Amino acid sequence: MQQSLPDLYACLGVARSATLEEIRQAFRQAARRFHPDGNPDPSASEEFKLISHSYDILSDPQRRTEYDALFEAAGMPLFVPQLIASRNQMLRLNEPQVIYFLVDIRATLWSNLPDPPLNICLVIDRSNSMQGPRLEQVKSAARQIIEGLNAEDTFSIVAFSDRAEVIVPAQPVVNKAATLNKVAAINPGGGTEILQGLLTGLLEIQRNLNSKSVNHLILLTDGRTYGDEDNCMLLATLAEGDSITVSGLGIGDEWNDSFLDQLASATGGESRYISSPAVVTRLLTEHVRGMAGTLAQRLRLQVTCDPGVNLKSAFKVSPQAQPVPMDLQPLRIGSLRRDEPVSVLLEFVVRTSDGSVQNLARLTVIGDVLSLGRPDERYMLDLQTKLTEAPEMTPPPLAIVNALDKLTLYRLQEKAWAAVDEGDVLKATTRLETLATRLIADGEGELAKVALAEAYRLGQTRQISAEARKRIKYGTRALIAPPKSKP
Amino acid sequence: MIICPNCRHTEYPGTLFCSECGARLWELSAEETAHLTDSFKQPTQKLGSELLPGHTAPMAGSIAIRIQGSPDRLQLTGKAEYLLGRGDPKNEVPPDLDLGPYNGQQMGVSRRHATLLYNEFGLGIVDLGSTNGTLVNGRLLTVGKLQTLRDGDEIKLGKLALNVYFGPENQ
Repeated sequence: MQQSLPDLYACLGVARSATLEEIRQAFRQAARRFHPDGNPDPSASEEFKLISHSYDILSDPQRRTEYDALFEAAGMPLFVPQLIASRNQMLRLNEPQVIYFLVDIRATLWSNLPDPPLNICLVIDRSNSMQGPRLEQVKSAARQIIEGLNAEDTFSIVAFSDRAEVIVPAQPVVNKAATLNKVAAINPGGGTEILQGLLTGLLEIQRNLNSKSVNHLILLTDGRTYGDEDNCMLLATLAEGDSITVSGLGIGDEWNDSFLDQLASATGGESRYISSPAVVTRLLTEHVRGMAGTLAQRLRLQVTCDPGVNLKSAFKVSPQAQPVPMDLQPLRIGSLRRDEPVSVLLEFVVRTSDGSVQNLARLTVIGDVLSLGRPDERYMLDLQTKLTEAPEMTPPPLAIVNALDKLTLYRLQEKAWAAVDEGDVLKATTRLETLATRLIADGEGELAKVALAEAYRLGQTRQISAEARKRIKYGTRALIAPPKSKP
Repeated sequence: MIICPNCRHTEYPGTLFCSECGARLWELSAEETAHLTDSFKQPTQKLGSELLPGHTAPMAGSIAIRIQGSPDRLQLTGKAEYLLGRGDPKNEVPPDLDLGPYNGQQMGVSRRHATLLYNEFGLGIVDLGSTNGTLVNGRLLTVGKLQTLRDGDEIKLGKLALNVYFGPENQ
C-alpha cells in the first residue's frame, strides 16, 4: 500500500530545488503566518506544527534526501484543486472587504484506477404513510439497484418504522431472485423512528467495512422523526469517522429537511427532495450508479485563514449543490468522482495587510482514495492576491457570477423562511416577491409562480405550505450547480 | 461599505450580489455610463403578482418597439426574453435590442439595462440594476421587480424614450 505523504516543500512554499538558505527564509515567513500567538484560527497550531516538521526535515540534508526518495515513490497527485478568484487584486482599504474563491477539485490523469466496489445499505421507511405508490416505487427502485449490482458489491436492506428489521443482510448478492422476493415482502406499518433504521443500517455496513469500497447508507423517508435527531447526528459523526457516507432522500412534504440536510452534510453525503413517487426509481438508481466512478470518499477541505482574514461562508456548488456545515473543520465536501469536479465556493472577509501581496489562507484538500485503500491523500496550496491602490475594472469571472447569482436566490428564500419563523409576515412576503422577480428575470417562470403564490398565501393566511417551501428550497438549490456538460 | 442602489442594504466592498434583494453590485464602480442628474426616488407603490392571468397579452410575434425621435419600428419575435442595452465589446452578452446606435451612451442607457419578458400571461419589463433607471409611463421601476406592460406604454431607459406596441407590423 502506498502511503500518502504531505508535500513539505509546498508547506514551506519553496521549490524542490531550494537551497538551505531559501528553506530557512521560507520557514521564517510561513511560521510568522501561522504561529498560534499571532493567528487565532483554530487550525493554525496544526499548520504551524506541520511547518516546523517540514523545516526539521528539509533543513537536515540526510533526512531531506530520505524524504525526497519517499515522496518520489508516492507518485503523482491523484486530485488537484484549481482556483478562480472573484478579483485578481484587492484594494487596500481601512475597512473589511469580500473576496470569493471557487475551488474546483478534479481527479488527475494519474487517477485512472478501477471502479471501487460498493458496500451499500438501503434503509427504507416502511411507516404507514409510505403505503401505496411511495413504498411500491421504492421497492421497484431497490429491484433495479439489485439487478445492477456486480459480484464484488455488498448490499443490504433495512426496513424501519418504530423498530428496524434487516430484510437483506449485508453480503454479495449471489441469488438475485431470492433477494427480490424479500424486497417484495416489505409491508407498510407503524411510525417513523429514523434512529432505529440508521443504527441497524450502519451495523450492516460495518460488517463489510473496507477502505477500498464505497461505504454508503441511503436513507429513504417521508416522515419526521421525533426526539431522536441528536442521537441520529451522533451516529452520523461516528459513521463519518468510519468513512461511511449517509445520503438522505426525502419523499413528499412531511419530512424534516433541515435535519436530513445536516445528517447528510455531516458525513459528506447528499440530501435530495423527491416531490412525487414517480421519480423515486430514476433518482435512486442514478444515485447508486453515480457512486461507481468514485475516486475519493470523505473529501475534506482544511481552510486555515491568515491573520485578519475570516472564512464567512462555504457552499458546495457542484456536482450537486449543498450547504457545507461551517461548524465541522475540516469542511466536509463529499465524494470525488473521476469524471466530475467538486466545486466549493468560499467567501472571505479580509482586512488588508501592508505589503504588495495579501495572503488569505492555506487550503488543504484531504480525501480517502478508494481503489488504493489510501486514506488522507492530501494536496495543499496557498490563497493569495495582489494588493493595489486602484480599483479593478475587469468584471468578475462568469463561473463565480453564475454560482453566486443563484446562491443569492437560495439564501433569499432561506431568509424568507427565517422571517416566517420570526413571525414577520411582511418581511417574508417581500422577500418571496423579490425572489419571484429575480427568478422571472433568470427565466425560471415555474419556480417564480410557486414563490408568488406562496407570497400571496402568506399575506392572506399567514401560513405557508410545506410543499411549496420544499419546492422553493430545493428548486433554487438545484439552480446553483452548473448545467451538466454531456460527455 | 457599499450601498445597494436597489434596497439600500449595506454590504462589504467586493460583495457581488446584495444579500437582501439579490441585485448585482459589482457594476457600481465599474460602470462607465454617463451619470444623469435625475435623482432617484424609492418608489412607493407595491408591485408583486403582475404576471398573473387576466392581463392583456400581445399575440405571439406581435411586439413592436418604436424609439422616440427615430422613424425606426423594431419588431421582436421568437424569444421569451429580450435584453435591452447598448452593445459594447466588453459585454459578455450582446443585447437583443442594441440602443447604442440611438445615442444610447449619452442618453444614459446601461450595457445591461433592462429585460423584456414575454409569456402567455403578458409582457413585462425588469430593470437589471441600470445606472440611470427605467421608467414606465413616468414611474421609476425598482431594480429587479417585474412591471407588466400594456399596449402603447412608454418606457424610458435613462433619457431614451421608446414605446411598446402589441400589434402586427403594418399597424
